[in-house]
Amino acid sequence: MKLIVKFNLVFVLVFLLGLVAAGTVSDQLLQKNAREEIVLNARLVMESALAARAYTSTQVGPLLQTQMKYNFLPQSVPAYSANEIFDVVRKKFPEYAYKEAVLNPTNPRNRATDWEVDIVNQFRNASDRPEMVGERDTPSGKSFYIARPMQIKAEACLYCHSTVDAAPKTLVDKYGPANGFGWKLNEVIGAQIVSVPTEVPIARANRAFRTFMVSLTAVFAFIFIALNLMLWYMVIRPVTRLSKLADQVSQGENMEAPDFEVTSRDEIGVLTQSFNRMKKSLVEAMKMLEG
Amino acid sequence: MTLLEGPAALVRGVTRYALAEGVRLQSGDIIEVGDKGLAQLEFGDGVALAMGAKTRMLAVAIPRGKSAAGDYYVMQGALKLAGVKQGARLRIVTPIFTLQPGEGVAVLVVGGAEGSVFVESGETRLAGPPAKGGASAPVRLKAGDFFTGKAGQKGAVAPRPSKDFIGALPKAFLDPLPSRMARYKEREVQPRRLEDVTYAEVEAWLKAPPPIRRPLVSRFEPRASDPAFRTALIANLRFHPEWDRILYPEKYEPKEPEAEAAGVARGAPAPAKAAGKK
Repeated sequence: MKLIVKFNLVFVLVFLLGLVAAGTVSDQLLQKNAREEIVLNARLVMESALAARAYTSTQVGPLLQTQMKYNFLPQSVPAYSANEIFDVVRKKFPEYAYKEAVLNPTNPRNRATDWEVDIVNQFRNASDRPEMVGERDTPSGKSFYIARPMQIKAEACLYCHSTVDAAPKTLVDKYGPANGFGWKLNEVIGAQIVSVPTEVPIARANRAFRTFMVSLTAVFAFIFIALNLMLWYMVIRPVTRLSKLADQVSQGENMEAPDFEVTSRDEIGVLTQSFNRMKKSLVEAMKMLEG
Repeated sequence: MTLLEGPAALVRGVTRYALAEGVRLQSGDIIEVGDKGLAQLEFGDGVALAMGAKTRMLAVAIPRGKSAAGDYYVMQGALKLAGVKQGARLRIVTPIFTLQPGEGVAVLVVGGAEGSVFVESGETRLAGPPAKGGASAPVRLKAGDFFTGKAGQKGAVAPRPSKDFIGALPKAFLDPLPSRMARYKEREVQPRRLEDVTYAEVEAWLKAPPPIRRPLVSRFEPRASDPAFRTALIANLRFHPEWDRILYPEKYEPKEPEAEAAGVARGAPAPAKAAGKK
């Protein structure tokens, strides 16, 4: 087996091992990053919604208190403002979703659907559970969700949601007396649920993985070609020529040929010098024997 | 006057002034807010009185001092009254009802022959219009109550304001009135004099219910010397007959017995002579 074949076999083997190892590590890393990105996105959405709620509750609501005596303004309701803000966000990121899923909501659009009811009930059964995360299948692909319980912790909430008689008249005018009443202090009435698509970050991670592997293969291929060329020009070709000359000299042919040209000072150059010296010595010895 | 948006006029004495922020209200002042205006009065006792567009109000009698105590006649427009405390001697008189706020915030709209009141907070009392001497049984309104009444009819109380009422209110009335008292507490602004009032400018006041218009006779008497004003007064005399004494004082002069006797002898009575001057 030729030296270049052996060399290339070893190289390809090392390359494949390296590719597999790098691929495995990078794939795990990219997938892990994608998952972290999904969770981070979900938390960002959740925190944004909470910030909108807090802003509405502490700053907007008090400003609209007088107006509420004339007309019920949903803009003063934290849940409404959080949903409205997120609706704007959804115009650019339609796969993302935020919902305040409530079992008995004042506004019908907040009513919990089947899988949301399960989450709310899990929180109701374990009210100290701060958060739930999971994945579910949707028509547009897998979706990651993060949910937090909505618990009535302030008496102020009951102003609108205890009984129809106690609620602001303008609220009852707008939403009617049927829904959103009977809430109790410390009761878990629903859950804030953020859904973010897993497809997008995962697809992005897969794209990054493919790009990385193709790049790595290209780099290996370049190195492979470069090393082969170097091997050819710097080792195999001079050694082949030297070996051919050595063959001729060993058979007594071409003894008058000029010295093999020394073009480098590396090991091949040293070998060439040694061969030239050996050839000279052989010619001298042959002459002495003939004389 | 601590807040003024848009044009508004002040009638003080017989002169019309351009109202400005910082002007101090005096007894007898008439405030007329422009078509797209908003004006707010604040008093030293914390009472704030905001007037919407097209509001016409007369400070009938306000005692000297820094409190809002006194009578204010609102002929038309929208008015928001805030910061009234228990025991405040303050009355808002309208052609439909007389409002005596107990405490809290009340909003009223008066237009044509209809008037409405919404009590935002606290409570207030409503009595009949001044023409009837407030003789009808007062209605006590609590926070959230909405009263609607028409002239000559018994009003009704509803648990929430009507859409028409809310629609008629300036947007600013739906929020708490801002306090700008600190800005003008130590600074008094004099209103810019425009001109003496014409009959048309005070016509509505001269034709107001008797308790309101009668005291205005002596006030606007100097204007009766203006030919145009006088002509208009005469033309509308049936709406304000109390001006007859000003326009034809000779009719009311004590009659001398001889002249009267002579007149009887000639068959020409004195009133007929006065009427002939018309």
